[in-house]
Amino acid sequence: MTNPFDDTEGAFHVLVNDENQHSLWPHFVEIPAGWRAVVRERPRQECLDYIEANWTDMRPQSLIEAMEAHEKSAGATK
Amino acid sequence: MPVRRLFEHPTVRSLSALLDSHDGRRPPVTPAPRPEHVPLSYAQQRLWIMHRLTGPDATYNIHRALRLDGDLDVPALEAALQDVTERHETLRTVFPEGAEGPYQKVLPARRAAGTLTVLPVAGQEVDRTLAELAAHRFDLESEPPMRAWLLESGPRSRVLVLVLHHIASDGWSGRRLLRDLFTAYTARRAGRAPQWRPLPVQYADYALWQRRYLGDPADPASPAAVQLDYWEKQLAGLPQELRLPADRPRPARPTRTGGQVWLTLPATVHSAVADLARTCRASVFMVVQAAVAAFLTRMGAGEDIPIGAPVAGRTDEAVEELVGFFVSTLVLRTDTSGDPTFTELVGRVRETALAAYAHQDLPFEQLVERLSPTRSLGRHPLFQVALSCNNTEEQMARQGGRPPGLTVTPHQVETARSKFDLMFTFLESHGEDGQPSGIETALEYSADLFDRETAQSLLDRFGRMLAIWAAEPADTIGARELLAADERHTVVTEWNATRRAGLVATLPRMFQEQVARTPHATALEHAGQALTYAELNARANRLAGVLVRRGIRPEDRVATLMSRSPGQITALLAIAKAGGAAVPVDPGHPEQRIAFMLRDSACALVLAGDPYAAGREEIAGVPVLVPDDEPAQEPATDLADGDRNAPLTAGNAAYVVYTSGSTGRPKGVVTEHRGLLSLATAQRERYPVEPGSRVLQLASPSFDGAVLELLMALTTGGTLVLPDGPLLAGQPLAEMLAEHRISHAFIPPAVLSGLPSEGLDGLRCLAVGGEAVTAPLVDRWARGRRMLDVYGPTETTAVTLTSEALTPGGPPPAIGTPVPNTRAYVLDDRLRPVPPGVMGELYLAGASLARGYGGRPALTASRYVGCPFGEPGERMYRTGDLARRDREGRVHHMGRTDEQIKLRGFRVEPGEIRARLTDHPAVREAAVVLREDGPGGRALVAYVVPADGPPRPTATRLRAHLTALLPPYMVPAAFLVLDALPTTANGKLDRDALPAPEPLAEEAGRPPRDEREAALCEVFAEVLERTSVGADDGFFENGGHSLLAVRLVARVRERLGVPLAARDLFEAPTPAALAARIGRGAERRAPAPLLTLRGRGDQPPLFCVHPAVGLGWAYASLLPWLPADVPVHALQARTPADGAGLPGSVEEMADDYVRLIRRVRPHGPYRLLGWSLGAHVAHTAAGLLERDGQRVDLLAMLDAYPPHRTGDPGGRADGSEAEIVAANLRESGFAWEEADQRAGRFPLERFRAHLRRVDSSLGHLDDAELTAAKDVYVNNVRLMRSFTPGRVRCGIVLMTAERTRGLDPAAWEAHTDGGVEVHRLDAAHMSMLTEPTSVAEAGRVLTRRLDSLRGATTKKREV
Repeated sequence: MTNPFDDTEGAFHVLVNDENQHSLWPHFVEIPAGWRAVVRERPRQECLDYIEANWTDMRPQSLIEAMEAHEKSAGATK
Repeated sequence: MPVRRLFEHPTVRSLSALLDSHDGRRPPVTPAPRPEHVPLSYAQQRLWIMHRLTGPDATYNIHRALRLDGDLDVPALEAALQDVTERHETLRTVFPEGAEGPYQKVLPARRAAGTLTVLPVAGQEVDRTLAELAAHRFDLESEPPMRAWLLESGPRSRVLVLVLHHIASDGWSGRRLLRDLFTAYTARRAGRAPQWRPLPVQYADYALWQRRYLGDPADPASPAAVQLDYWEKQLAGLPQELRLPADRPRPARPTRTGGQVWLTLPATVHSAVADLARTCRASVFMVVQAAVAAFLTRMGAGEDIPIGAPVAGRTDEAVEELVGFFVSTLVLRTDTSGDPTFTELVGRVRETALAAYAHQDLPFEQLVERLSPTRSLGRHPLFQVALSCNNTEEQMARQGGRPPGLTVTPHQVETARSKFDLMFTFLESHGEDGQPSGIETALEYSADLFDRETAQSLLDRFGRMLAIWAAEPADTIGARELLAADERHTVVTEWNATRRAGLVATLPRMFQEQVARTPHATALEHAGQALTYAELNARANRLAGVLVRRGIRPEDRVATLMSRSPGQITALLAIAKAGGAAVPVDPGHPEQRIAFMLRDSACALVLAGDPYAAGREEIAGVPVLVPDDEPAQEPATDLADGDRNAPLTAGNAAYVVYTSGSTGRPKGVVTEHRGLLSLATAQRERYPVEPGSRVLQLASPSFDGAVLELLMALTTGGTLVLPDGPLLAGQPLAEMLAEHRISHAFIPPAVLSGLPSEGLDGLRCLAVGGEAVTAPLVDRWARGRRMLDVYGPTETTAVTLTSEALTPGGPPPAIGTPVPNTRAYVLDDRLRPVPPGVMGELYLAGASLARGYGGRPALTASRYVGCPFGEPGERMYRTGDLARRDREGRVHHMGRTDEQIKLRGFRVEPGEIRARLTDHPAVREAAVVLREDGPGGRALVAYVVPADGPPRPTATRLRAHLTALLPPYMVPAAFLVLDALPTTANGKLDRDALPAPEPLAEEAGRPPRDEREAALCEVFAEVLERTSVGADDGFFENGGHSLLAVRLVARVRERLGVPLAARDLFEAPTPAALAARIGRGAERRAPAPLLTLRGRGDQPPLFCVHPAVGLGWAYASLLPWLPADVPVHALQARTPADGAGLPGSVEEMADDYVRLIRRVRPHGPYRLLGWSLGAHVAHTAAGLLERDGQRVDLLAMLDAYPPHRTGDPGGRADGSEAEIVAANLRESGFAWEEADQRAGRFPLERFRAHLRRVDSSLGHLDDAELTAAKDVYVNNVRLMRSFTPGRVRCGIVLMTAERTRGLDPAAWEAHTDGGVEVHRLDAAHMSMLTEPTSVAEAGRVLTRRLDSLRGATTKKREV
């Protein structure tokens, strides 16, 4: 059984959710709720390269925002 | 050609295929003269042999039961039975053994008569009685193969039971038998004998014909040979066993018990199947076969599906009417690959079926013999699933005639036997108008493998799929969901109902809440000391305060380079309290790997304990902090968010744990706090852990197993007990468990299986996991305690599934069900949930999911992927584990989709080891596999294909290479050199073709002479990770390096209580030499001036001269790289403690060494090597030897250059000697501060740290040794100031360290007549003999030179 994510010949999407987490996604499977495709039907390596280049902060978006909000308020009180 | 065949092949094309076959040339079956002993047909012969092997047995019984309602004339029935027995010789044939094997002996009709037994039976007892009768055991040698019973349950209610042995009958025979029986009954009831057409031939004629026709398989022109050839090609590469969604693994001894379940397919489905058959010019059988094959593929059986199907075997009209064993078995191999449409698949089936029919004469048993598949008692050869379209019952009832006064209906009985794993039977029925009116479907299953409920749900699901495929044949076979809506709900939702509200917390909060609950309970125990929760918390708080002041904040990574200790636990808690994420690093790992982890995780700080910190200010560029036990100035109170540099949330990273990476690079899994709570909750509830529990800390600190243990104890009020010393197993572990009254432990199966279980009653809860837990292990350990199988990759916070308490005597245990707030999905290759029992890949979702792989976004995005089942935007982690869920939803582990290995609980990617092996210049290709037959059982074995040219890969070299780069458990136990890696037809590594290593691939060394040697051999073996080490085997030869030397010395100290120093090992590097040394007493002496690093070998030895620090240890790293037959000695500097004192010049030193060298080797040729200062001494010594008329045929230098003087002789007089020495030291990277100089102090500790950087083993010198080394060092630096090299005749082989080189190699030209051969190494001066790549390069250069000196000698394979 080949895992659909490991098919080096297959076409993939790159999905992103609200937390800016990225997911490789085999193009022939329906996109799950809460995810949107930012790259569609491209070769696997191209998708991986995209992710490597674009998902540079792997913290969930909500955590980034909370930490930045704290920085700001901490900065304001100083 | 029988007319019947026209119906089987209703199209012109298939008919012509038939005509092309042997059918056209088959001679007719005719009555033949009977020899004295008529042979058995081939099929009969096989049954006879099995009968002989197993004794009388009911497996090959065929039984028929008919309900006869109405007026039955019993005497007429009895007479009719005699009539058919008379008519069909087979029914009165016995099979005695003659001189030439078994033969058919046809009894006279009268002797075989008296076969009807009348039994009065209560109505409800009929089925049970029938089952008993059906199990009648025929003695084929003396008993006629048919028995008949009449069960009378009422005056007008009877059941006729006919039981025949298969040797005399088959499914097709039944129809003829019953028709003849009722014809005879009708006649007898009317008072006359039956008037039937005489049979043209009898079975014996057929048996004789078969042997004549098929001929001798040895004759290539014979039909037997031609058909064998066909089948051999057709079945090449057939899967050994079809993987079925069974409830249980196949037992070693099959019981052959079975059961049967039924399903009626309605007329609509029947019509659709018949229509499709017509459209495809195929038979209904072919459509059904295609559906079975497609169904099995969807159920996880693969894409190459062999199905056994009976064929009538009556290829001649003359045998049409006979009762007898004609049926044969064809293996119909169906290729379901490429996700074809159903129509396309029917087409494929049709083609193979037609070809198979054309080659059906070959007896199945001959085929089995020829193909000789690996025989297993448990499974049917060549196929395990059978399929039969059986229309005889329906036709029998219709065509058999209606005996007067009787209503005849088949009495369906469940067979309790099963020859196959699964057998599908189809029975078509048609309305009065001849239209399809439904298909009665039966599934016979092996009860060894399947439960009845499973078989029924399989059949129901098959019915659903057949209906879909027949109605929509243009869909591909993979397109439709297998699960019905209710099944899907069960699998996806009910089995994952783990949601628990309010589970949000961080590790500090969980721990602090426990501190509040049980402040005075013991939290930690180690080496006789105990810390309460309050004490541990206070220490952690203080250290957290220090970390906060150092600027550590949430998301910062902080490494702990510490062995298992209270300090390490404190550090982990403190890091979490400060808000940081801990990166636990095992200090026992190779330096390079440690450095990689620190860099890769971008650590802000490393908390290092002694001796790992040892004065280092940074490791791999990361600042070092050595935690004080009591940083008193910090408050001991819990940190609130306001005390941290930023607030800590459950979404922040908690720790980073490294796991093996398949591409060759370890990957750091970043875990968040939220996942820890699910784990802790599961432990509290399922184990359970409670105050008073004593939890063992067994896992190595750099594994998440250690986190599991920490949580197990410290969030529940239990005590975490830390063992002293290294990893425990076997008897010492058992002692430790008993002595420390451990109640809870997590132990990998491999360790558990080697653990004596006696006297461990106190061990109340045992969690096992990390690799497969076997039934025998459960039997041994589950008695009297709670034993749980736990499962979870690092990527999902260590534990994601937990079993219920395991019970002894059960089947192999499940890995369990998801812990709170986590979910498990077993999905197919389109990410659809598979039905229970079907294997798929395991995906995990929920709170346990880690954030991902630090700094590896693409890798993370390909393993943590969108989840189609949970909340919108959720992710799931694909584990790469194959799994199935049983009917209760428990997950069972079924292996891996990739190569990942679990070995003694450690997760290993062979790809990572392979990558490191192919880094080695001697290796072109490599494969690493886990073998059950490796050295000492289950072990990693490496196979390498050598690169062109020297050096040859040897076990020693490769082991040394890997030991420097990988943790010990990743270093293979055996290395084999192959000319090429074996590959399969499609170019993949053919694992089965890899040779097994010899039980002890290492050459067995000399056995130890006495107890001390024996103990040392064991310690050597333990430290070198070898199965055994001989008494004369050298430490450094066998993968030992300086860090391991330190470990070995520590182990010897523990084991023998002898105070050894690392240098003792360099001076006596074999168990025997070390034993002798210990025997003499390890009195403190000056370092030996001449080390024998390798004593064996008949080549001229290589003499290596120490660098400035005066010790020759560094050269040990070269040993694995040098030819095995070259002895190696190292010269060491005299020290002030030595009688001779320090030398006054380089010349004096060289003169001293020449005397030492000539003591070992009085005459040339000589081979010399020197590194740094040693090169100058070697050069000078070469000159002295040449002056004595000796030949030096190798003078090799490691990064040394003639002093660079720019006509400034006066400069030397400038400044104090101390300043000049300091300047020289600075050049070598050691800063001696002016303040120290002014105070006349020598910074011994910093010097120690400096030496450690050069060679980590030197950091372990005691103070006296260190002071001596300092004196030597300072003296040598001073001597070099005034030294000018002379000139030698021999050439110079100079290896430069290009990364740090500042001087010109050509400067040596002025100092030799023989020229300078320069090899530029990618190396740094200080680490030339410690960095594995430069050691390897230097070794290669030397080996080439040494090999060329011996002329054209043959190269030995050392492996």
